[in-house]
Amino acid sequence: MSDDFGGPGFEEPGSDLADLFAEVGEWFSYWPVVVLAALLTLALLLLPTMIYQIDRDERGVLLRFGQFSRQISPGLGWKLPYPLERLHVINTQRMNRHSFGHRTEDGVPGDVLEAERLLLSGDLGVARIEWDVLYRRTDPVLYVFNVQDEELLIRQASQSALRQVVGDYDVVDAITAARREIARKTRSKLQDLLDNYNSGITVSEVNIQQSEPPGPVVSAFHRVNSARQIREEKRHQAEEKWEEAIPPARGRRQQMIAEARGDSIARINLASGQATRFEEMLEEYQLAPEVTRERMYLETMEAVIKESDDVRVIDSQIPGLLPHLNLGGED
Amino acid sequence: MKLLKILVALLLVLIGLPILAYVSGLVYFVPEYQNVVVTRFGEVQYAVLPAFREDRAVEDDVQPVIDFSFEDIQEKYDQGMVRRGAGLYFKLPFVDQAHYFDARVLVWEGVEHEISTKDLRSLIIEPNARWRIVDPISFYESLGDQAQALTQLASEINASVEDLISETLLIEVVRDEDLGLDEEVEELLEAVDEAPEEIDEVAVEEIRYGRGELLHRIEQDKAEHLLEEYGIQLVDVLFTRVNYPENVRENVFDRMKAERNRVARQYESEGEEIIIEVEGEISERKDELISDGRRQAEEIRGRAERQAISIWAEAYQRDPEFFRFMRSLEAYEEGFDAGTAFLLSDGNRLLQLMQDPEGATPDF
Repeated sequence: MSDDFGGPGFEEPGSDLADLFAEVGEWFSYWPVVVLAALLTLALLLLPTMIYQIDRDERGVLLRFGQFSRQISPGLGWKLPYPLERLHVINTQRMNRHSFGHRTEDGVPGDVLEAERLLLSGDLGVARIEWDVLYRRTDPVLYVFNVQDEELLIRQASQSALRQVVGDYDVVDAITAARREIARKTRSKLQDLLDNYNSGITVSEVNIQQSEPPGPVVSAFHRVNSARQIREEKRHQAEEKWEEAIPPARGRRQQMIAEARGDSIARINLASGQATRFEEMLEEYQLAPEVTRERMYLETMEAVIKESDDVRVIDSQIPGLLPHLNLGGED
Repeated sequence: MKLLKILVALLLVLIGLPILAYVSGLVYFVPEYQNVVVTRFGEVQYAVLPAFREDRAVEDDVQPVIDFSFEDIQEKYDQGMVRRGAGLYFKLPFVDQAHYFDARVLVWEGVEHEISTKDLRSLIIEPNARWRIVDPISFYESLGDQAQALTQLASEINASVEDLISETLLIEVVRDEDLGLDEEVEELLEAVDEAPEEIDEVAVEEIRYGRGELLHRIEQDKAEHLLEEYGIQLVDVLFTRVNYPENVRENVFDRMKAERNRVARQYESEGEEIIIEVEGEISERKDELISDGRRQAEEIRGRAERQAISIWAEAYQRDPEFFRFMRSLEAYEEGFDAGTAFLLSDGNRLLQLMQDPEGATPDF
């Protein structure tokens, strides 16, 4: 080593400057060690950028010299050091959630954002809706190449989509019957927007958490609900009244018909009974009309007179008797 | 020792030179999500766009990042001003400078401001937009950086939003596809009025389009200008928020209250209606049932009577004289009771034998 940069012959005792040069020169002669040490340090510094680990719910997008090289599946591996190869790790499995109308921190509902949850409805009223959007980054390559500010992108697109959809519904529908429909339409509209950005994001769900009329109008909505309940009660009462009144009337009708039928049978039976009796009698009477007639007459008279308590016989030879009788009076 | 030195020197060259090349700027990388503009002494030499990737084989099926159907980019490409594809590039160190611009979808966030619609109703609108730098040369020359671009976008888009909304009816801003207008909406429109006497009634035929179309028109309004002047592609414009101003909101709430109360009253009176209606129906049905019963009973009795009459007539017809005789006897029997007083003359046929025991045959 000493052959190259200054040997013992160079040394001039007493000269500080020469000493210094000599010392530097000596150090200089060790440059390969220095370089090796520097390279080793660099290697150690870059080592972390050469090892990668992709978790099971993640995918890696590897760029070599900036150019897309390949998608990397979960596992441990090596790559060229930064900046030759860059690895972007994207979680493709996790469900991300954004809440609108209120802040959610670790699943606990936080502050209410009044302006965010008030929406104009199609009947120019105002509805108050709070909702959640759940999504996944399903295409890591598109995601890395196209998405710059994920949170803002999702927040703006979600609000715009929901507001646009609610604009076609009445307040009442928007907070009641059409909730699911609105959520469904918003999901599809939001997905269309995100597809248009080639974002690689898939919206799994749009959930309407809460939908109600705005604060000052709530009581009026409640009044409508209770009025509707009262109306249903009245309808129920009316049905009850009907059920109470109509079956007895129906029974009465059937009763009248049945009575008439009974009477008819009795009447016809009477008629045919009497007819048969007459015919039977007539048959025998015709055999001996004179006698039978006499007998019948006498028998009847006998029976009639026998019944009476007051029978008097008047001799037609005694004139003027009739006026003296106390007719109808008490004796 | 010599060998070691040579080896180390070689290593130094192998590793050190690339580092030197990278650090000095001789070599630079263009990533997939960035555009690069290379300038020499401030003058644009060329741009590198990562989206020209059609000639590269990729193991994944990757869509092109940007739709490069824009004419002026094609033109610049033809002039040799555009290099295609992400990757490794060379330039003169120190002399040439690489400027990086984001190639991803960028977001512009507007602020809320009050705008009057064509029918003079106030709305608070917060617009937002997505944009990308598709012609970095224009972008670099005209704006230079994103902050400048956002300022420019704000003024351009706000102007567009204001212009177009002032030509649009309130209902057109609110509705999207369903453009039908009913009475209730007309009433609500009145509640939103600030200067009602100046406003003509909104007729259904005046409604031309909904929010989707309005947003599309706002995009169209500036899209070409932004692309030509600044190399910006306006991807879309949306409204984060559309609300009534505070003072109008109170009116709208009052109107909604009144409307709900009206509906409540309607339900209440409908309840009464139902009760009264059903009571009427009950009475009607009852009368119907009873009278129907009576009618059927009468008919049944009539038919029976008719049958009875015919039975009697058929029988008695055979000897009317005997019938009369017999029926009279029956009437005597039935008609007189114990209280009946009989004054029998001795001429009575029953008593004739008393005076004439010889038994003259009575004469009937």
